[in-house]
Amino acid sequence: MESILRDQKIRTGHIAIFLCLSVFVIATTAIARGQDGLLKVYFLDVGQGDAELIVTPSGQQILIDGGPTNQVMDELGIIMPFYDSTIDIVLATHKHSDHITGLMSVLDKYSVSKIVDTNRGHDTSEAKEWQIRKELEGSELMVAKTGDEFDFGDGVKIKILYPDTVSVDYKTKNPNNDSIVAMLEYGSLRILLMGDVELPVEKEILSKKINIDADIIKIGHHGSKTSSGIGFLNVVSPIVGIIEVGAKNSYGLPSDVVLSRLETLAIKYYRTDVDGTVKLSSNGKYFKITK
Amino acid sequence: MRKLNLHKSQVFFCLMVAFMSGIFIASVLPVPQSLISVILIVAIIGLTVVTYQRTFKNDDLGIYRRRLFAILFFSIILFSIGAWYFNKYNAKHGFVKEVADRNIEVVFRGYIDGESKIQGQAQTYVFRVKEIILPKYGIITDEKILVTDRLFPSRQYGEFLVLAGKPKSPDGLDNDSYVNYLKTQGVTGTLFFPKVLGDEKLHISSLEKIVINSYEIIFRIKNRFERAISQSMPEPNSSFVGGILLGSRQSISSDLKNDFNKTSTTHILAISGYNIAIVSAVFLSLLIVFVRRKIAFWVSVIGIIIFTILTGASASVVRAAIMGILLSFANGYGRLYDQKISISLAALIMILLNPFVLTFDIGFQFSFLSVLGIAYMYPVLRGKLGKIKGPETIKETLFMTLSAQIFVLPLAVYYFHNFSLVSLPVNILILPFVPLAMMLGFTAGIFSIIWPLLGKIVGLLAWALTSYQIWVVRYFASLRYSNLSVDLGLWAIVFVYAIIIVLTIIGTRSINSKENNGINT
Repeated sequence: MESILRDQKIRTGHIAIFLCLSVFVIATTAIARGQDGLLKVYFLDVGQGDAELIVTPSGQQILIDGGPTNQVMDELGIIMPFYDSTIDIVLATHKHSDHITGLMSVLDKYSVSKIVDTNRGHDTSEAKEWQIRKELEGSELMVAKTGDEFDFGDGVKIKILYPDTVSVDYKTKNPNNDSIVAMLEYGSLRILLMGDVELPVEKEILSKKINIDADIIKIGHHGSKTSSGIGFLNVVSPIVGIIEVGAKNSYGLPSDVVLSRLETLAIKYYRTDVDGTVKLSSNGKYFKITK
Repeated sequence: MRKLNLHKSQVFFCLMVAFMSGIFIASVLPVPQSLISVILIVAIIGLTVVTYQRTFKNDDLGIYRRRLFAILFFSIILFSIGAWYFNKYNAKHGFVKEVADRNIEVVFRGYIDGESKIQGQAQTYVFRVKEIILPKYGIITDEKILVTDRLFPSRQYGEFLVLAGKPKSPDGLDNDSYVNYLKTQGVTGTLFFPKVLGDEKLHISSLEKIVINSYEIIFRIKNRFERAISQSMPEPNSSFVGGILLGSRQSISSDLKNDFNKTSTTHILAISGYNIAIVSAVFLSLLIVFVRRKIAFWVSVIGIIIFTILTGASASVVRAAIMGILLSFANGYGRLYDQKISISLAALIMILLNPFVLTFDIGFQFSFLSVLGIAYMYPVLRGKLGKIKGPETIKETLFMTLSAQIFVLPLAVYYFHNFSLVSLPVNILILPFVPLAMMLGFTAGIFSIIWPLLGKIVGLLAWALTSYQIWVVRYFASLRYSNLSVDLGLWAIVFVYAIIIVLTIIGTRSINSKENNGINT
């Protein structure tokens, strides 16, 4: 009897070893196929909130925002190699819960080399918690301001277009307008990441006459009609727009007004509530979008 | 005339059922106290009459009849005691009820009495109220309320707080199943987004302080361990491992939870007898080498109790813990372990502690139905279908799953209006690897605390195995016809259960007679 039992155990063990090996084979082939020297930008489906992961051709990872829940963790679990538990840069555009809540779980699990945000805080429980967690992480902390530039090699750059630093006693009127706006450049490809900024900031950026022409735009504030003015979109003149928005959200986003503006300007758009995670890959000249 | 020969354990079982029926009836229908008294008096008179020497003749038939009637009247007595017990428990006085629903701001002092749970953009926790402060006077009390609070800062067990807000009583809410949930939790009020302040000066007894401190230590260890698992492998695998080890379903995304529901595999994420059995087996086998059986028993009892607290003491865990303690008692003290007595005893203890669980706690019902299925249906399936050829492990998983499922399924269909067509293949494909996944996950967690790199290496193995399991669940859940939507009324369910019980009895009899024949020839 005992020998039979032992036999069975061995048999289950054998199957388990076989299964583990197959999982490793499948996973490593997928990873190997992923190392194709292209820049990849994932607009993650994290529900009603923002999260984007940038992977440079040399494999550096930049996570911008983390969405409202820890759903971002599952997305990262799928995209990042199974052995990888580090992220190079985490960037928080602003301190609203639909952008930073998921980042707190990210800081818990991954070791992050550099954390970038603005010095514009506001008085909510999640903003305070973010401040505490950020300082606990022990990574290099950095305050981004207009004109800053991150160079990742291979010609990949992120330029900060907004906001300026403020004094300590700054009181925010609208945290959305404290968002970081950034341009991701790779070769001739330009991707404009709008965070949650609204029309006043779009006007401010326009008035500064900086080059905001882009191929792809991450639509501001989840497609709300308080952002994406037609004049602004006209100057950016993107080919593709991406809306990070949750299915059946209580705000009625994205707004029909914004969708019709995109259609009028013949900007093809993707939305994470319908398309799921949207993946962009590029060699610096051409780009491809997969859902 | 064929005599119904009731064994001692069957009498016990019969009386148990009577008591539980009393509690059940009282919890679904209002049974007035006066009616209970009348039934009780009639039954006591009946019992006196039938046990009186001259009522029945002193021959075999007479004694038999006396015994049968005595059991009947005794059952009725227990039935009314059950109803009375429920009424008494239900009418327990609470001061929170007095101040609730009045739209006045009330201040509560006390401490957080459980782990906080994240629900969307909020966290909820049970708060033990020690003092209620009203504008003109204060009340000293000891009851629980459910607090819905902002997501941050994350609240920890044992935090002393002052909460100010407008409480609502559970009865005032529209959602029936939510009200029932609150009742099973022993919650007398709810509080939404109160103003929260720290409270350093609250005075509590030193015994309570000791309890809080030891719970705090247990939860801190749990948090540390969960973090270690999370750091040793990617999501969603680490949440899955957390689920099978500690029953923490918090961090599993709603998508994946949905897939587990669709394939009827959520039970592996709920801590059950299975996990308790593994924990106590590990404790026993470690200890038996060093100490005597009796000491090993007491240590494993402590192990089971700590594990129960760790996992949040849900109905299924408590059930499994009681049965696990009984089993290790039987082992340690060399007594015979009767599974059926053990099931009844566990149910009795839980119902005495909180009579609401019987009717309102779905987890309680599922847990007992599945263990009853394994106790009664499994031997029948084993006897009838055991000869089919195939690997033993798969056969055993198959029969276990089938017997538990047959007992649980009708009630699950009644509650969730949903019937999974892929349940069986999915369970067979993943269940045999759950113990190994638990072991790898546990080792990865422990190693990760000691030496993170080693934790990650073991974590990779756990990741690979659980990846396979998650993949199976996701694949089958994505099939178009994985689920049927079924809507059955309560009577249809009762009818189905009647058929299942009759079939089980017939099956058991035929197997027993077969065995007897085998002995005779």
